Amino acid sequence: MRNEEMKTSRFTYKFNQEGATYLYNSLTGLDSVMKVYDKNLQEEIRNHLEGNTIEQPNPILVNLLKEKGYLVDGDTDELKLVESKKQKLLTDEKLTLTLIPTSGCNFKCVYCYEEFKPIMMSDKTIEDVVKFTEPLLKGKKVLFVNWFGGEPLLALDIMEKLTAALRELCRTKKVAYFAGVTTNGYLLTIENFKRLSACRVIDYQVSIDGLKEDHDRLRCLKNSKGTYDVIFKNLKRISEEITGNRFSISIRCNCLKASKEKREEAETIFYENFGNDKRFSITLHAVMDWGGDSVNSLRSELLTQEEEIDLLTEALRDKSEKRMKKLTHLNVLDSRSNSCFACKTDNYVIGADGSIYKCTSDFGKPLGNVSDGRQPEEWYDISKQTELKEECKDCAFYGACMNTICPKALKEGKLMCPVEKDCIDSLIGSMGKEYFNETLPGLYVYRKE
Amino acid sequence: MDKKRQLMAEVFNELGIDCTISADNDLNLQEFIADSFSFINFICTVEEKYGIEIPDELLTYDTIQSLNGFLELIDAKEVKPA
Repeated sequence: MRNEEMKTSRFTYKFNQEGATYLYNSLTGLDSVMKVYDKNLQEEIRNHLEGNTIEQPNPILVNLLKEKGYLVDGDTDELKLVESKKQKLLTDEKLTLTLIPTSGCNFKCVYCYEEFKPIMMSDKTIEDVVKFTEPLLKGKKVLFVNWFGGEPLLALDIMEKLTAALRELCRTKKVAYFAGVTTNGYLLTIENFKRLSACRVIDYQVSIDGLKEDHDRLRCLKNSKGTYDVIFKNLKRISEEITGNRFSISIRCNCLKASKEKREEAETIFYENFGNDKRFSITLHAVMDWGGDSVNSLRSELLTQEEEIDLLTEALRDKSEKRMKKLTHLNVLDSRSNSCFACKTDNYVIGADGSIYKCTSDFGKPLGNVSDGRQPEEWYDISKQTELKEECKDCAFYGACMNTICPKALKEGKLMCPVEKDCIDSLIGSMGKEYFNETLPGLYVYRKE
Repeated sequence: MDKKRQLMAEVFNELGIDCTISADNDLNLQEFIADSFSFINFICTVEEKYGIEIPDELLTYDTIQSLNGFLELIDAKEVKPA
């Protein structure tokens, strides 16, 4: 019998699919995912979660349900636990800087929202960035730099200069240093990849918007020439010629209404080229209106949220052999990767001219400049937003989301839920056997890669 | 001091960690590398300095219980030049 003083966690999510019972707890995250085929265990789990009397409970199962957060002490205030988890997440031991070494770009993407004048970061600004960073490292264990643009690879020499200076600073402060880059991939040649690796760049995000004809229309060079072939060749060479597992490349596929019919074909191409390379993953997103005028030409082609959910659900349910096995969407089940970096207290975006922002889609009035020699103005401090929104009160996903998906939306008084929340069944159901260990006969528990 | 130990001293210098590596002393590296960030930072720096790739399956925190043990691991055949 389950302990009388235990209760079922409000963040428990349970569903049945293809003969299996799946369990997920949004407070404990991805680690909690369980898949149960054994009928007796399914029945016992149901009884535990419904608080029914069980004559001879399986002690291993009971412990597992407690350990994974499905059964909690009766007096546990789970909302308090979420708040504490949120505060910890927003003020962790990592300083994140999104650095824009140049605001210039070689692309003219149809949906781009940036309206910067193309400038390169000067030596003086590089110095100021380092000075600005120094006091922020106090109490931190890691500095993570996310290179952004414009197109950052147009300023690779500036990235190298700034990396050297920041790594030296980290050395003196005994802080670890790592970096990621969001690049259009056009200049991501083997030679440049090696230079980036030497700059400790370990995470790469490259956009390929579906099939060649669609990508070339949406993401062309300034002279309107297509870019698909060059990007694809660059990624293929990296996959074939670079050894080692110390990096990952996420292919971001920005989708429009027409993507629904073409997804399978596009994914087959990705699979055939990168499907066996665990360092590559794919992520599907709707083209969003992040502002600016250029997106207006695509207005009628933008996916509604329902259409985006449909697209993702279909992609997740696709069990064909030729689909990318590694979907970064699973990260959404975990609050650490679910949250937007802009929520974090110790996060700054620094433009090529030294302007300081908090969010890469809120390039309005800067909060200051690294040359000011003082702390920037406060943006929207999500750590102070402790009141639970009405819409979140009964949401089983709140333990992972914690209202940290889009602080810009919250700042504007809107609520943004992750699109994956509406297709959790498909998302968890898409996890193959490689994600699980069999803990009891017929009961599988998520295992970390 | 042999070249591998010399390189290890350089790794620690680069990480800003104060510890003495002599010709034959052994150390419990976990005393200097206490958390996961420091550990992965250490591994990446070793790979950069030695020009090697350490396979993921050898990357457990236990591997740095002993400096000598870790140097043997670097010598092992599974570790290949980058």
